[in-house]
Amino acid sequence: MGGLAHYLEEEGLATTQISLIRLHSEKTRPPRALWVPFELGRPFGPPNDVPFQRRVLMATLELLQAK
Amino acid sequence: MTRLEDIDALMREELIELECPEFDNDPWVRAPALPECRVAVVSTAGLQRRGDRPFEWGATDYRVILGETATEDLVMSHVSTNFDRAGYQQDMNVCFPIDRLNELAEEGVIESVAKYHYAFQGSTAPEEMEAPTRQMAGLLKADGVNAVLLVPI
Repeated sequence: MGGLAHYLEEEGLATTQISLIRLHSEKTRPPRALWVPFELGRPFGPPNDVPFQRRVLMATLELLQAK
Repeated sequence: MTRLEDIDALMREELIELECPEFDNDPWVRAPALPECRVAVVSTAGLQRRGDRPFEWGATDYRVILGETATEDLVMSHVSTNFDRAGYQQDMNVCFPIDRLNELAEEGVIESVAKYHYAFQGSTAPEEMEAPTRQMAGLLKADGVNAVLLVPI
């Protein structure tokens, strides 16, 4: 995932991402990544938990505002 | 449960030690303020529209997903068995948060949600996805996207 971030940013698109395996993100160094300790397969957390999913999504999107 | 620490040691080590590309640059595109962001999802969950081509082992291409694709018309054909699918089967928003994004757009938190979203199948060396990703960037721009949400599985 971090590699895709590099390619898209080089093409002029701002990216933000979730990271499920922290070491991978540390190796690839995407510009913005939110590491979450969730199960593989559930990057936004539990199914049908709208408030929780929203918190994860907002935390990820707010990284776009980092200077 | 498929937390990294819960899967068998051999597979866990293989996943953790997976070879990752190293980059000698740090590209950084400044994003607009959130209320001006048109957001697209790029997933590596092997998602596809029902009836589209399923992903095969080693696939490096991507599928286009119309944002208004109904839940029952979204299929996950990722070949890996090393992640939970039960969550997705109950609620696609666990990995494709289209409903949450639409809610944010309706509230004005973000400007809008892209018409088209994209899915690769992970489990592939990122370098092999470079060319299709760069090609996809043109499609994202044509859709007016200025912020990309990358979601692993």
